[in-house]
Amino acid sequence: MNPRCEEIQSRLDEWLDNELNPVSRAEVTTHLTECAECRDVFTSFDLLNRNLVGLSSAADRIATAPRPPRIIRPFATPLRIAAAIALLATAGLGVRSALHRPDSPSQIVPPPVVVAENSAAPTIVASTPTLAVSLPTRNPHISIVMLYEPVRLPSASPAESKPSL
Amino acid sequence: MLEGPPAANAAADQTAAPTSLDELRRRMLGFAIKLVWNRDDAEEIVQDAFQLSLTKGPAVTDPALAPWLYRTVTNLCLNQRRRRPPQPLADWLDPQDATSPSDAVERAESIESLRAAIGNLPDQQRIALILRNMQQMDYNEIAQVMQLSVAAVRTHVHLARRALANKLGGSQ
Ligand SMILES: [Zn+2]
Repeated sequence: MNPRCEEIQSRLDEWLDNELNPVSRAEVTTHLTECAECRDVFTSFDLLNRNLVGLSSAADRIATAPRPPRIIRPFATPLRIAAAIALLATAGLGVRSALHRPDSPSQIVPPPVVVAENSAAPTIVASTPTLAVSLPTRNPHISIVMLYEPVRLPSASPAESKPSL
Repeated sequence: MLEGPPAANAAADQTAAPTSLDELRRRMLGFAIKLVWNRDDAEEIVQDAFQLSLTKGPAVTDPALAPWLYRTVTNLCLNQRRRRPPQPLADWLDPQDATSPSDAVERAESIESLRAAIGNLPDQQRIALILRNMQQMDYNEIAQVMQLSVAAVRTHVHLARRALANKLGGSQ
C-alpha cells in the first residue's frame, strides 16, 4: 500500500466516529474520489456502520414493542428471598416493617407481610429507599409485598461491579 | 458514493445524562436486548440489575449509577444460563430502509449475519462496539463503564470493526 493510502486509511476510525476536523475530512473525501482501493475499504466500513444502525433500530423496536399483559416473573424467587434474609442476618441488620420498626436494630424479625389488593405486575420502585419484594398469589388481585430496609455491606463483594469481561 | 457516518440517531442517543430512572431503565433494556436479543430475558436481567443496585450499587442520585448498571447488565447477560432463543430479526427491521423487496431480503440477511458476527466477537470487543455504535456512547463514557483506559476502548472498537468487516466480506 502506498504511504498516502496508508495515511488515509489510518483515519478510518475517526472518520467512522465523526471525529475528523473538516479539513482532514475533506482530504479523505478527495482521496476517495481518486483511489479505488481506499474507496472500497471505506465503503465496506460505511456499510458496516449503516448495518449497525439498522441492527440497533431493530433492538430498539424489540425493546419498545407493546406486549400483551402477562404475569411477570415474581420479583424475587423464594431462593433469593432466603438469600436476602440470610444476607440481612449476617449483616446484623433488621428488617423494617411497613407497620412497625423493631426497637433493637440487631434483632431479626420475620419479613413483614402486606397483602395488597393490586393486580398490577410486581415492579420495583427504585426511587424509594426500600426493597419491595412482591409475590403473586392464586388470586390475581392479591399479591404479597414484603418490604426490606436497603442493605449496604461495608465490605460488599464487588462481584457485580467488576466486569468479568 | 459514500454517505459518511450516519447521523446520530436522536432516539438512540444514549449520551445525554438520563433524566429519570425510567429513562435509565429504558436504556438498560435496549442495551440488554443488544446482548441477548430476547425481550423476556432482557427484562429479567434489567430487573435483576436494578434489584442488585438497591443493595450493592451506587445511590439513585449518584452519577455512578448508570455505569454501574451497564456493568451489571453486561455481567448478567454474559453469565446468564437460562437463555431463551434470540428473537428473529426479520420482524423488527424497518422496511423503509430498503429500496425494493429484494433489497429488503438482502439487507435483512446482512443484518442477521452482522448480529451473528457480533455475537462471536471476544467479549470486550463486543461490549465496546455495542456501547459505541449501538448505544451511541462516547469513548470516555465507555471507558468508565468498562473500567478501561480510553485508548484501550478505542482499540477494542477498532479491532471489532475490522473483524466484522473481514467476516462480512469487507476488507482488512
Ligand atoms: Zn488510497
